[in-house]
Order: sequence, then C-alpha cells, then structure tokens
Amino acid sequence: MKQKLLVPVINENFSFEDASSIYDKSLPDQAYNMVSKSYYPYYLFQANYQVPILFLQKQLSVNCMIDALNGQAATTDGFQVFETEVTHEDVLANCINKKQAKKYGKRFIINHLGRSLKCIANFDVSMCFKNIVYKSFWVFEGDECSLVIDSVTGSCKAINISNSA
Amino acid sequence: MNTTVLIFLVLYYVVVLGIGYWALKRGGSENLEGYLLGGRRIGPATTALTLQTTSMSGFMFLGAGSLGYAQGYYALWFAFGDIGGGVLNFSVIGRRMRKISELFGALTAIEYLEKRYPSTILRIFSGSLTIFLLGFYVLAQFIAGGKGMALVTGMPYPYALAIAVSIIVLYTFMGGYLAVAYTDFFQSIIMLIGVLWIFFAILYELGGFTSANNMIANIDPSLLTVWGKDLGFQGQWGVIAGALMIFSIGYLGWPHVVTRHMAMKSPATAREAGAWATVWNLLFVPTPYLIGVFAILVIPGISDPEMAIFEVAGKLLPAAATGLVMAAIMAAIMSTADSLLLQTGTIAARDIYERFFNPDASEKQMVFVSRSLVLMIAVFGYFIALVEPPSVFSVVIFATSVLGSAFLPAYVCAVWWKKANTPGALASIFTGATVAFLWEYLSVVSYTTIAPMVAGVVSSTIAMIAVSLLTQARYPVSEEILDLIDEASKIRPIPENMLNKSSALTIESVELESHLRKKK
Repeated sequence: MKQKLLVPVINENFSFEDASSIYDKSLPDQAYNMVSKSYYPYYLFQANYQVPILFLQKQLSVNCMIDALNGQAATTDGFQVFETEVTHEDVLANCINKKQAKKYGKRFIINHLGRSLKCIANFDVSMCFKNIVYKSFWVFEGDECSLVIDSVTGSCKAINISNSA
Repeated sequence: MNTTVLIFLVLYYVVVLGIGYWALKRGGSENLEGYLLGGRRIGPATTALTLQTTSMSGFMFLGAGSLGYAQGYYALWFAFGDIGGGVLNFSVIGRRMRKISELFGALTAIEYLEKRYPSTILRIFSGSLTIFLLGFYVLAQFIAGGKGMALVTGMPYPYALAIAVSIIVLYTFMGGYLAVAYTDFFQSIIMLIGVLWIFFAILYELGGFTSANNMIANIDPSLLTVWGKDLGFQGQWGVIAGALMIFSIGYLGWPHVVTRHMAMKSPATAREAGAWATVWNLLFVPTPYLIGVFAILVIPGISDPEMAIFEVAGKLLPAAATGLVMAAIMAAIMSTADSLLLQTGTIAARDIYERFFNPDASEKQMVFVSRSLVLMIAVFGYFIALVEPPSVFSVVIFATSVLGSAFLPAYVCAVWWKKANTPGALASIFTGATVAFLWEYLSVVSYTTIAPMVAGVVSSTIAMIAVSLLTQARYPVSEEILDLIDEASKIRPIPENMLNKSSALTIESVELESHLRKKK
C-alpha cells in the first residue's frame, strides 16, 4: 500500500479542466496518455525589514518562499492553503534544510532590497519561519513529450520524462 | 546663473520628492512591495524608461556634447552604436542569461561568472577588476556633477565638486525615497523633453539643419563628414569600429547592465521593454551629439567643450526651462552614480568580503564594508577630480573599453558556447583587460589606427577560443553546467504564444523532470 501524507497545499487556481485547456492550446497535435499531480515543496518565511525613507525608517514585511530543492528564493503575495492527503511518491523530497533556506532567503531579500531601493543601508532583515507549503503541478504525459502546468499560475513547460531520454 | 534657474531647480526636486512620497505612501505596504520589490504593477514602458534613466550618465551631457563640438558628425558613430546596443544586448544574451542565472541562483554578475566558470581566482580577479574600473566610471560622474553644480550655482569648482560628491554619497546611503520607479520615469521624461528642447532651440536659432550645416561648412567642412575634424579618422576603420562597439557591445561588460538581464521579469517583458527603450534611445541618444555639433556656431571658442550643452541651455532657453533641464541633467548624473556605487559596494561586500573573508558576515558587517568602500572611492575620486580632472569622455571610454574587452566573450560564451571552460574564461578576461589597458595607456591606437576596444575584444575572444579548446580534455565543462546551458537554450516545443508563461517554470520543471523520471 502506498504511503500517504497530509500536506498543506497552496490553493489551486487552475483545475483539471483549465489545465487540459492549456495543454490543448500548447500541444494541439498531441494527445496525452495520463494525467497526474506532483507536489513541490517550499519553505515559507515572513521577512521583516526596515526601509529608509529620508531620515525615517518604515517597518515592512513580505512573504518569502524558498524552493526546498535548490534554495531559489522569491517574494510572494499572501495566499491560502488547504490540507490534502497525497501519496509519498507524488511529493518531491526536500534537498535543503530550514537553516539553509533561512540563509538563502535572507540573502535574497537583502540583495533585492538594496538593488530595488538603490541604496546601501542596513535593512535589519529578520526571517520568521511559517511553514513548509507545497504547490501542485499537473503533469500531462504524452508520447513525444509531457507538459507540467503550475496549478497556481497556469505557467507550463514541456519536459521529457521518457527513460530513453 | 540667475535666481529663476535656481528656483526651478529646487522646484524640480520638490516635485520629484513629492512623487516619491506619494508612491510610497499610497495604499500601504501591499503597494510598497509592488513598487520596491519587483515592480509587479509597473509596465514595460515604465520599466524601460526607468532603466534608461539609470544608464544615461553624465557622459551624455558632457562627453557626447564635447565630442560633437570637437569632431563634428564623426561623433554620431558613438550614437549609432548606443542606439543599436540595447537591442543587441537583449537579443544576444538577455533571455538566455536571465534563465541560466536563475538556474544557477546567482545574485550578482560576478557570482554568475564564478558559477558558470567555477574558479576562486576568477571571482577574485573579476571582482577586483570590476571595482577598480567602476571607480573610474564613478569618477566621471563626480566630475560631471561638479562641473554642472558649479555652473548652476556659480560656486567655485572645488566647492561645487564637494557638494556634488556629498549629495551622491548621501543619496547612495539613504536611497529608498527616490528609488521608486515613478520618479525615474518622471526624470526620464524630463531628460528627454529637456534635451529635445535644447536641440530645437538651437535649430531655431540657426535657422534649421541646412542653414546650420552651411554655416559649419564655412568654418570647417571636415566637421560635416563622418571622418572627424580635418578628416583625422579618414579610412581608420579600426577606430570607427571601436566607436561603434564602445556603447553597443561594450555595455555587455558592465556588471550593472548584466545584472539587469539577470533581474528581468520574463523574456516577454524584456522584448517589450527593449522596444520602448529603443524608441526612447532613437529620440534621445543622437541629440546631445548634435547639440554639440551645432554649439560650435552658438558658443564658438568655449574653453571647456564638456560644458557645451550646459552653456547652450543657459544661452538659448528661458531661465525656468534652464532650471528644469539642469535639474534633469543632475538627476541623470546622480542616478547613474548611485547605481555604480551600489554595484561597487555590493561586489566588494558579497563577492569579496563575504565569499573569501567572512562567510558568516552579518548584514551590518556587509553594510559597513560597502559603505567604507564607497567612502574611499568618494574621497579618492574627489581629490583626483580636483587636482587633475581628466575629461568625462576619456574616463568613460577608458573604463568601458577595458571592461567590455575583459568580460564580453566570457558573458556571451557562457550562454552560447558549451566548450567555454574556466581556463578559457580566465585567459580571456585577463588578456582582454591587459590588451585594452595597454593599448590605451601606450597610445597604440596612434600608430595602428585600431581602437583599444577592438584590439581588446579580438584578443580576449581569441584567448577564450584557443585556451578553451586546448584545455578541453583536462578541464571539461561539467555535465551539470551543460544541462543548464541546454535548458536555457530551450524554447520549443512550446508555441511562441506560450513563451512568457513557460519561462516562469524553468527551475521547477528541471526538478520535476528529474523526479518524474525517477518515479518511472
């Protein structure tokens, strides 16, 4: 029996119908054989920081998600999650730990603030861990190639998952 | 300068501050994130014009005008290169570099180079070389700021320079308030209006293009040719090629330009922003050179040709307009200078100090290192600009030549040539920088008629190809990097209309592909 996990998943904006419509538009001449879902892990932190405004400081915060496989960080809007039961093999395993994720996230935020605000300043960035969240991806497997579709943004990408590749 | 000019100059800054205040206060923190952390609500037009404001430095108002004044229509070679440069940069490395830097997780241009060509020496050498040459470029902005401030306020140059340098450094340390995209957007519009206003004013004064050209022909017909004063560059295609290359491909070596490719939102944004930038460039870039050419007639025998545009503005524009135009020029100088200082500080703190001296450096320590370096550059820059100020034009051309020669093949081959390896990159950077520097320093151009940039780029390209091929067996490019280059080059089979969306999934798709293969 397959091992089941209860994971927090980011609310999906693209249902199966929406995803299959994207598939039809992207690969109109190819039929798919199978559809599955994969769950991609991210560390979610709240980054608190101070922005210099003339001689004052303004305290702000932003959500920062760090890709749990390769440490890529990005800021994000707020979002809802729901808990769902998924099979273990549909979940991608973390490759970095929380401490590393915090370090990568902080580095990203400091760099991003400096570049965006065009100033060399101490932003007093502190990273507050919130959760590990998962994003689901629709996977449409075809004969020639497969298509992964982000269930939150609808972004898609053709991939080759045949063993002969 | 009269009081009206000063009043309008101050008024301009009040409006800019007002826009910054409005943008930051509007709508609370959610909007602030939009403005400060990614420009999610800012379209390609604003993005493009914001970038143009940063990249158009004091050179355009001092160096370009001076060149037109001294060499006539020959100056337009530089403008042609600059106009085409934006599109060339976006198309040659823009999209691929954005994808591959994302895959590498590189935050700075030097870190990107080290991840593509793994080598500690490369990072130290590239970081140090970049800091050194960016220092020169900052020096040019200091001189431009000092000269402009002296003219606007009527103060002696040493005091005006001290004020300009202090404002630039303070601006870099404080930032924030003026960094919102809308202030840059506003400034870019004022810069464009200002420069076009001066241009049309001078054309009106001279009775149009034909009349102006006839008058120049009476003074010195060689100024109307593309070969420079007294046909000094006739048939010197090596020099012409250098003039064309300097601001087209030369920019590819600049870390603050390359970082922009890494920070692009998506390839589609880049394409649209590139189109806007080109339109703005077409209107803006040739104009200061042409004003310089026609200034020969309006202010003949000027002692410092670098002040030609300022002087023309002061002579032909109403005092209020002169104040606005001067303010826009000062804004262009300051926005470029603070970007350069920021890049220099970041490279010193992140690529040198954190990487090699203190990997666990706190944010405060990093800020201290960055600010210390900026202060050192400011103090050195001030004294060099005071004691023996070189021309803005020669400093910018020197720094761009050496940086472009050093880094151009390394950046281009990083995404286009899989065999480009670490020894090849090291040899290329070292050779390009050395050849361009010596070519300039020893004035080799005077007897070879080949510009330093041409010699530097050719030699660094040869070094990259020869050394990479010779050392391929011993230092092959790793499979991991080859996979990432492959991934960065993929567009198909996603149809063109899906390109924008597909780009966002680059990183996850690599991991998902690997996971799904294992699952099978």
